[in-house]
Amino acid sequence: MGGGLDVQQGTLVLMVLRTLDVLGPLHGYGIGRRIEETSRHQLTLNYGTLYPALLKLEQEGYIKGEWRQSENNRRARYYALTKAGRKRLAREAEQWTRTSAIMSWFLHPEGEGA
Amino acid sequence: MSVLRAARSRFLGLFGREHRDRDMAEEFAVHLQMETEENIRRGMPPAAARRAALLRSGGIEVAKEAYRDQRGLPRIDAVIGDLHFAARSLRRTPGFTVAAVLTLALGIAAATTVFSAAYGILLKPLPVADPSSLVALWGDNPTHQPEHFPLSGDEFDAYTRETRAFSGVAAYDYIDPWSLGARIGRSDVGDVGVSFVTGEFFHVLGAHPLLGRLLDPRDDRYGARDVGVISAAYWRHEFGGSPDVIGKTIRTEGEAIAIVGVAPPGLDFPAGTDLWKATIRDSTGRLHAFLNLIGRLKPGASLAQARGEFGAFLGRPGEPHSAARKALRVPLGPAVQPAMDVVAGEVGPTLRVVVWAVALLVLVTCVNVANMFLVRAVSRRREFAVRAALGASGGRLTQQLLVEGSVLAVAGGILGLAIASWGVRAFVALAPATIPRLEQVTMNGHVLAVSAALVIAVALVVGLLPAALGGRLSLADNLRDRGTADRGKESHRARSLLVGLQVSVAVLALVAAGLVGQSFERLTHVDLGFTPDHVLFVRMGVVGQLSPLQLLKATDAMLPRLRALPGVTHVAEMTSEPFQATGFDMAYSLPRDAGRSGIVHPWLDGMVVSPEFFEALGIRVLDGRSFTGDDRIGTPRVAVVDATFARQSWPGEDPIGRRVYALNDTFTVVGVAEPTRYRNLQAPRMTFYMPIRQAVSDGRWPRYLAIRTAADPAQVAGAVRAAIRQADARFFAAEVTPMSQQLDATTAAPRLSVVLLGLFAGAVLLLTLLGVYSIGATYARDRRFELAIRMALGAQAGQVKRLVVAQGIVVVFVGAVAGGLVAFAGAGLLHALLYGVTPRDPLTLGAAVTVVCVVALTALFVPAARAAGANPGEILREG
Repeated sequence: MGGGLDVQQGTLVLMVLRTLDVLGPLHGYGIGRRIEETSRHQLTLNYGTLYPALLKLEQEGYIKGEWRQSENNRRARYYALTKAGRKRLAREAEQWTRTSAIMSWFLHPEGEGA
Repeated sequence: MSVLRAARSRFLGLFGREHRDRDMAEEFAVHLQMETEENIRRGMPPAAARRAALLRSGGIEVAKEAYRDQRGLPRIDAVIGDLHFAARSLRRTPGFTVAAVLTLALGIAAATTVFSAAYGILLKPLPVADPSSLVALWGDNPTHQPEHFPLSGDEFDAYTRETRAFSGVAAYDYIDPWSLGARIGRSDVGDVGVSFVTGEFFHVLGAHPLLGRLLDPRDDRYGARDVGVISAAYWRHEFGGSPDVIGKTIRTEGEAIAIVGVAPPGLDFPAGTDLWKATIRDSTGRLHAFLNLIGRLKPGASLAQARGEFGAFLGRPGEPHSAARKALRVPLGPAVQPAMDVVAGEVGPTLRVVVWAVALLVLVTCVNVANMFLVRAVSRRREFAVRAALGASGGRLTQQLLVEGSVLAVAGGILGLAIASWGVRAFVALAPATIPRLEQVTMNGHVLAVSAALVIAVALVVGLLPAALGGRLSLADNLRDRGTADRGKESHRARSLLVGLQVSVAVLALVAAGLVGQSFERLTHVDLGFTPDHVLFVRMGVVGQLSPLQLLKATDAMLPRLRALPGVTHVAEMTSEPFQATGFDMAYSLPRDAGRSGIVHPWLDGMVVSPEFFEALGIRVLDGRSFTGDDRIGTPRVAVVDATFARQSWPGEDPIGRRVYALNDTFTVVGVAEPTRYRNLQAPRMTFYMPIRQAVSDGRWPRYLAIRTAADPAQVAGAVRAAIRQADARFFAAEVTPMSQQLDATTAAPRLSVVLLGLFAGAVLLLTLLGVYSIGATYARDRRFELAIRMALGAQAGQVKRLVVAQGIVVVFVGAVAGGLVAFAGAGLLHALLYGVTPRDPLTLGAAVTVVCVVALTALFVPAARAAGANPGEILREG
């Protein structure tokens, strides 16, 4: 199971939106698996973290869920990005990139004069 | 925007729970299944695959909770859950639920009804601008009879010019509305209550007309048309609320008055007014009237300032306008009263007392229900302990109790409001017509708001009190049902406190009811000085302008017809009606006052009567004679005085033949009559009777008749009406009632308070009885093992009884004594309601305390007897 990190709520939102952006509409299980794989199993997700987050995103209008037939003909709930969701993804991704760049300047300064 | 979307979504998430729960369960199940299948694909055996998947889920039930919390609004979800739980729990104990809801309903119904009355009569502002700055003014001298003195027209004009405290001053006739005969159109002869006011009256009040216009200053100038404004109630009643009332004419005894407008509803000032008309000035601009003033205080001016200024004005010597007052030689002080108090009249104090009583009643019902709740909470100790062990916080449990209390309060409130709507209608129907502003008493928005607030308060008290006083919830102790000496002690103390409070209130209630009851008893058994039975009272009205002499001639012509009616023994005429405290006040002096300055006698109640008056009313003539046909204009003026006056003026001497100076004339006393309470039931006045035929020159018309009948006076009523009509079509009988009914109407307000306070006392006593009983009963139940052991070891029935009684006895005594002390201290508040009874009457206090103690102790005996009669063996075996 790996020394998993618990995922933080704010970053989970970004991960979910990105996953849906890349993979298209997907059910909850698929989203969770994809996130775990992408994080190289460093992150552990349980139902209590994932599903409330999906619900919140749906309530806020960034993703939309609907019941569909899954691959093996089972009824599952699929989530898809909305336009608002796409906008939020772009916005947050940009913010995150900038923040992490700044952070890395702090944590790993490049040869500044001593 | 997303926040709003989320909020809306979460709100909607409160509904359709079951449906959404199923969806959630399905989604989780699918996830679990997919994970399991993945594990199987990786090579795990099915059972292991599933178990691994479950482990990774991280606790499905907890996840479900987190999901639900996100979906809905968790706090409200909790409350909804509590509501379901409360409903189930209350349904399981129907006895308690029904008792609690009924008790609360009664308390809320009583409070709502009384508050409706108080609001309509006392609190609802007059439909004028800023009612609190309106003040009524007149002169008074509390040591004199009469106390109340109006101002003259000249004084009114002078004060209006000089005042600095008031931005506007108007005046109204100091006598309550004159009941005058009225004809509208060609038909409809009835009577109308007319108030004479000065032109700026409505301006000063700041009222707006409902229809047409109100009076203004040009309406009292010399030569102005006779116009009038009718009240909204009179408009509805007589004209059916039709808009073509403007321009119609009301023909009264004096003049024909054209209606120019309708006053706003609820403008009952002066009380009982149907029609306001301006008193018209003479050609020099002077106003001839006796007036009370009404003024609007300037912003920043206080009542005290107004009183000071007005007092200085009244006390100023040597002004031309106060010449008339100087002749009266009565020193006057300023009476300055907020207009709202004047409107409420004498009902004000009664209503205030009743409001307090009802507030106490509501308190007691809350206490009772809280008590019942507490007992119930104690018996649910186990349940609470288990829930606490499962993780419910103290706050959560309190919330649940609060919700239960709220359910009871709301149920009680709804039922109470239903009862109250009936109660308010009953009150308006049954209340005596003399109560002002009765038509304003309805269950309106304000009343409902207060009731809602009451329900909330009750919910809080009932819900929180048991929680606060219920004691700790130690798990082990509470799971074991067996009682130890310590347990329930806190709750027992709490309940004792509550019951003690009830006992105190019961004592207060009994004292109030007792005092008011005795007062009423005295009032109705007072010696009237005349016999009202078998006497028919008639108030006549006339339409048209007749001089006093013409009026007298016309009524004289009627008398033979009336005397001829079957069953009639005497017919008399008089100038005042009984028990209204209104009449004609006369100043007088005696020959021996000559040469002595500064003597002011209390004024006399002057009555102009026909010779048969004394026989018709059954007033004994103690000395000399009564009037005869020979006492008429041209013969020396004579008078009959009452014995009190005779005793005071000529102590120890024969009053017959003595002289009295009054009305700018000299009277000779020819007879002495028994003193009566004809004018005022509670405060008799000295009466000075004058014969009709001589007094007609003073301008008084005897519009009232007293007809003594052999049998029931009510039977002759119809014949009397017809006889008057037939004798002269201009006259009509405006009111024909047995004199005893007049008496009943006077005592109506005290009777009302006796009934209400009696009911209140009864209700409180009953609730207290239940409360004390419950103390004894719960003690007996909680300690049944201990008592059983005692009995098994040889204790007598009497000893066991004494143990149970001892529990309650301290509470009862302390509560009763406390109640007695509070009653002693506060009884002065009832002063305004009492007649002939001192508020601090020790006998009443003692009786109340004793009765409450006896009743309470009786309530204790039942559980005591039951405990003593129980079979000890059975009890011990069940343990």
